[in-house]
Parts: sequence; structure tokens; C-alpha cells
Amino acid sequence: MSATKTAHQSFSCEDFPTWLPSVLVKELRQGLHTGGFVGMILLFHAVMVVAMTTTVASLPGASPAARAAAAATSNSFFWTLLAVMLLIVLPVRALFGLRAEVDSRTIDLLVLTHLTSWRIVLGKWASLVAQGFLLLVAMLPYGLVRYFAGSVDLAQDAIRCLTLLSGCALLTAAALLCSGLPRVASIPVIVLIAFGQGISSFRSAAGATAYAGPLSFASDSPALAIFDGVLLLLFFLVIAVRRIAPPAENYGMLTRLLALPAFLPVPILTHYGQVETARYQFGLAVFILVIVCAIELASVRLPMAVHWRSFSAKGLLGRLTGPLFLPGWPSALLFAVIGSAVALALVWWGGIYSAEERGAFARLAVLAAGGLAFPAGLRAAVLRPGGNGAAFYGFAVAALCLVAVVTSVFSNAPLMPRWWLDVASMLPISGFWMEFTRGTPGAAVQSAQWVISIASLLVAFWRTRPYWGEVAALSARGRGAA
Amino acid sequence: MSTPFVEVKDLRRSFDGVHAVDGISFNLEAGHVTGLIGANGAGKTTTMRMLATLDLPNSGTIRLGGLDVVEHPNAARRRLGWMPDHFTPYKSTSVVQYLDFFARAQGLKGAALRQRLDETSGFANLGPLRNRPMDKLSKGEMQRLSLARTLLSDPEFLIMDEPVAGLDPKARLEFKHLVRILSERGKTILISSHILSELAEMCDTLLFMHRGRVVHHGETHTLRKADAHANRCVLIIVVAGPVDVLIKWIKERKGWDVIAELHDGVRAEFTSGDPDALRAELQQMLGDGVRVVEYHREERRLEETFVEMLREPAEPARH
Repeated sequence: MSATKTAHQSFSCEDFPTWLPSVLVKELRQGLHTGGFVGMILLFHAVMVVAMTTTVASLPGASPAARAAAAATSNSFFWTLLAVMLLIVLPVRALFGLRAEVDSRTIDLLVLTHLTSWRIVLGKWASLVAQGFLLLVAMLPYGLVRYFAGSVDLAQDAIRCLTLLSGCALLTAAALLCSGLPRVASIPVIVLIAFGQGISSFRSAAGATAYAGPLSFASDSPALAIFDGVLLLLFFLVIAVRRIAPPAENYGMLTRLLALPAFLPVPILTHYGQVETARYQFGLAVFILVIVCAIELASVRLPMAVHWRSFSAKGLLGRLTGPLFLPGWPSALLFAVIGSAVALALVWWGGIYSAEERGAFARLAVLAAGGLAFPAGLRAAVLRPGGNGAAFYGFAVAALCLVAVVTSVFSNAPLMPRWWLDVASMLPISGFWMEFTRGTPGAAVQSAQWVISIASLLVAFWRTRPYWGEVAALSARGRGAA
Repeated sequence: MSTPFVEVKDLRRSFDGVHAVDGISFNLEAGHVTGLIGANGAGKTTTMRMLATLDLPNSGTIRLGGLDVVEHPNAARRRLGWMPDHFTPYKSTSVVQYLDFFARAQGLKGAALRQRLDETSGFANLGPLRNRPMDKLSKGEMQRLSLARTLLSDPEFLIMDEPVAGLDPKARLEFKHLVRILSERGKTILISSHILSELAEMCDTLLFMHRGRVVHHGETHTLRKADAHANRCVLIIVVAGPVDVLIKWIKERKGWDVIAELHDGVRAEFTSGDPDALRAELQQMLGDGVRVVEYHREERRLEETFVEMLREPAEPARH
């Protein structure tokens, strides 16, 4: 073989300009050639040609009622097909986006380039949304034909198209998140998303004028809906990024910071008298905070010099805030406590809850914080080094949730001992859920809940000492190097 | 000896209590090709993945051109190229599209991108395969493509995990040739394999691993001569006339043993690796009237050397 240059033709591609993001180019090259995308376009056109031909053929001489019925039929075809493609087919394709790279280990090759994990995930997501946009553009001729058939509101159509594209963007991001998870964990997440946002978006796109689903409380305020939608989108993408990020990249800071902006609209909504909406927004914010804290507390990563350097380079402020955002559960525990304090402060001074409710919420916040800390503290005490810490945390949380579910379901069964109900109400995590199914327990159980939750937090904090020792060493090494 | 480009010190990595890499230390000289040899499960791939910043050690340090790869992984990545033992081709992607993507991912743009693609594809002779889908490439072609991709960033240090495994003899020869050219261009190269013969011709030095530890690190030709450890050498001695005279001389002489009688000589063992002692013995043989017409020292097969090393307790690396 000759090791000299033998190619006469320039060895480069001219299909996309070189300034376009590399992952977007790669995904578009692959995506636009896949059988899935080509088949989707062909199917769409075939069905619409048949539907439109039938509609147009029935128009001459038809009564107004018949014309309206024909237009309604073609509309149904049009929107249903588009919704299926944007809200089901494209997100399903995203379900294999990261897993394919991880399983085939091609992700190793990507992380060794100049690409960050964030750009890899963003490129994949942008490519799928771009394909969704291309689908929308491809349907424009049929939109025009529908216009001639009548019963078309262009403004309404534009809103529906945007809603569909937004739903596609959100669901694709959620699917990318699932594609990076271990299979056993991805199934419940897929089910949750499909029955939550996915089905609701589909209903919304297929006919309902108001936006439905978990963000439906925001339907009266487009700005709030967009704000929450963007936040959720970023949240999904960041969690997906975490799954493929090499140890040197720290996404703990971004993940944790994303949990806080959801609280921002609460005082604004309260100020303008929308207390009910503010309560829902607060609930969403707390939900995101709990999920973020659980994800971060499951991590057993240790901080690296490269992580600490990024904070210490920002001076005093960086060194002060760094401990809150370093990777690893001890840092996450500190963040969880501060996040809970932020939520409590909003409850106390935000004017969204009455004085009675505030007390109950404070107890719930402590139960939640203790519940999140308990599995982490337990893991630090019993798991040997090298064990699967994230799985341990997940298993402990699932087991305690299961205790709550089983106890609640069989609480009235004759064989269920009364004392067990009290025990389940006292246990971390289990006790939190039991509040919602069994109501506020007696004073003795409440006292036990306080003691156990605070003890869980204290034990967990105690077990973080080696971690902070490591951080101090990193800091000292950094100062030495400087 | 030149400056070490890669310095590994007391590196450890364990998975679920199993020590995949157990305190290894070695240096790789700049511009040298080093073969990393060991049976399956010896810790080769784990070591390479840590060198490539794809895995983190439990303890120990890796320095690449003086840079700690754990503390400065991003800077280290700019200086290394990783060629895995196997990679799955991208669907619906041609050879040129694949290389173009990785060139873009390395931050190349415009004319620089085109120039680099021309250089690397020319080096790996990928011109004729330009528009071929990746999943239609042979194993040898895939390895050439993988090498071209690795070279896109023009790394100083190349890590190749089992690059010639599964290649046919022609592709193997082609690959060895490319490695030699890269070495001449000053690249520091680490190649792993569990088949010694694959590495012997390509590498300047060999690094033997067994159960997560380095059992030997030495130059290839030294290992062949078995000077590194052995206190014996094997000789083929051919004589004119009756062989009995030679056999009698050997049996009477201390430190000698006949391994096999040949039709015109013997295959004999002398229990010393010292060249001066051997020269003196041969002079004595001639002086005693043995009509030696030819002799040569038999090179040991590397596989034998490796097996013998595994019988000895693991020792610290030479460097």
C-alpha cells in the first residue's frame, strides 16, 4: 500500500457548510436518509393526496353542510397524521439516539473530540426537531388546498403548528433523556411521559383549543407556558447530557440551577392575584427540585481538580459557591438543604399558603429532605467502595416508596397491624407519601418523623466528611499550583 | 535514552473489588512504538482507556508530555488519539461523510478541514473508498478508516487497542507498514494485542501485563535474545565429521547440555546468558579440536519468553 496521497478528488463533503455544528450535520445526514424519515414523508403524502383528492372531488355542487363535513374530514386526516408523526414517530426515533452511541461505544470517539456532551445531545435533538420542521414545511401544499375547501382559520392553524412543533421538541428531548438511561429505568420514565405530557399534547393538537396536560394551569398565560416549557426542555436535555458526560465534565451545576428558576414566577403570579396558578407553579417547581435532588444525591462521583479549577478561577465567589455545585452527593445534599430553604421561604413569605398550611408544608419539607438524605447516608454507611452507588440509592428509594404504596393500599385490610401503619408513617420517604394517602398522623408519630428526618440529615452530613476533605485537598493543590 | 512522553506511576483501577489494574508503572519514550501484551483480562484495555482519559484510575498518576491526564483531561485529549478494538459503523454514512464529521468535531473548518481530510485519507489510502457506505467496508478497510479518523487531530500519542485482530495477512501487513511510517514521523504509539507475533515486528519495546500487573517491560530485540532475564542460551552447532566428538565434549563440560541431536550437529543449551562466558566456551571448544563449521544462537520465541515470565513473580517495570 502506498502511504502517499492517492486521491485525486478532494476528500471532503460539500453538502453542508463547514460552520454548521458537526453533530447536527451528522444527524441530518443520517436522519434524512433513514427509512423511517423517508417512509414517513411518503406515507404522509400518500394519505394526504387521497384525502385531499376526495375532498376536492366532492366540493362542486355540494351543499354547505356537505362541504363543511368534507373539510372537517380532511382536517382530521391532516392534523391527526401530523400529530402522529411529530409527537410519536420522531420522539420514538429519539429513544434510540444516545443508546446507540453508548452501546456501540462510538460515544468514546465523540468525547475525545472537541465536542462537549452538551453539544452532542443538543445536535441530536436539533436534528430531530429540524426534521419535524421539514415535515411541517412539506405539509404546506395541503394547507393551501384545505384553504380552498373552506373552514380554515390560518391563525388557529399557525398556533396548532407551533404547539405541535413545541410538543415535538419537548417529547424528543424527553425521549433523548430516556435513551441515555439504563433500560430498566427508562421504561417507567417513558410511561410517565407518554401518559402525561405526550397524550395531553396530542389531545391539544388534535382539536382542543386549550393546552392540556401537566402544564395546563399555564394555559391562560402563554408566557408562563413558554417559560415552563423551556425549563422542562432544558431539564430533559441536561439530564440526557449527564448520562453521556465523561467524568471531567461537571453538569451538576447546570442541573441544580435548573431546579430554581421554576420558583421565580410564583411571587410574580401572587403579586398579580393569580394565587391558584401560583400554587400550581410552586408545585411544579417543588417537583423539579425533588427530582433534581434525587438524581444528584444518587451520584457517587468524587470531585476532580478540573471541576474545582472552574470554580476557583472565578475568585472568591467561585470558591464560595463551588461546594454547592461540585459533582457528588455530599455537595448535592448541601444544595438540597438550601433548595428546601428557598421553597420554605416562598411558602412563608410568598403569600400562597395560609398560616395552617405553612406549618404542614414545613413538616413535609423536612420529611422530603430527610427522605432524600436517608438512602444517601445509608449507602455511605453500608456500601463497600466500588459498589453501584446510584443503583443502591434508586433501589432504596423504590423500596421505601413500595412500603408506602403497599401499606396505603392494604391499610384497611383486617390483617394489617395498626403499629405497622405508624412505622410506615415514620420511615423516611414512606412517611412522606403516607401524608398524602393517610393524612396527618398523630402527635407521637409526627415527633418521630421530625427526629428520624433530622437524624437522617445529620448522619448523611456526617458521612460527607471524606468528600469535603478531598475538596479541601483539591483547593490546597490548586493554591499550590498557582 | 530519550525523554519519556508518557509516564505512568502506581496506576490502580478496580471494578467491583476486582483489581483490573494493580499498581502498574511504566514510561513510554517519545517516538517509540510500544506493544502492550497480555492475555484476555490482563488489564490492557483498562490501562489504555485510562491513558485515553475514558476511564478514571482509583489511584496513581498518568502524565502525557508532563501533563497530568486526570487533572487536565481536556488538554490531554488534544494530544492523543484513540483507536478502539472495535467500533460500529454509522448507519447511512459514507467513508467521506464519516471523516468529514470527525474533522468538524475536531474543530476544523473551511480549507484547513479539506486539507486535513486529504492528508489523512491519502495516508490511509481511502481515496477509492470515498463514497462507500461504512457498513460495506471490510475489516481491514474499517481499521484504515479508524486510523485516518484517529489522525485527524494530528495527535502526538496514539493508543491502538488490538488494531490488527481479525485482519487478513495482507491487511495486517498494510497496517504494520502504516504504523512504521507513523513511528518514523515521531508519533509515540502504544499498541495492544494478546498475540505476540503481531507486535514483534511493529514495536520497539514490549510491555507484558498479567493479572493487572506489569511483568516485564523491555526492548523487543532484547527479549528475543532473552538477555533480560534468562541465565541460559540455546545454540545450534554444526560440525564437520562425526557428531559424537561434539556430543562427548558437551557431556564432559560443565554448564552444557544436549537438547537434541541433529544429523550434522546438535541443539545445545548453555546455562549462562553472559556473552563473554559463551565466547570463551566456544574458543575452548575449537581449541579442544571440535571441528565446528557453523554455529548460531537460537532466538527465543516471544511466546516462550512470555510464558516463562508468567512463571516468575511479577517485578517492577524496568523504567
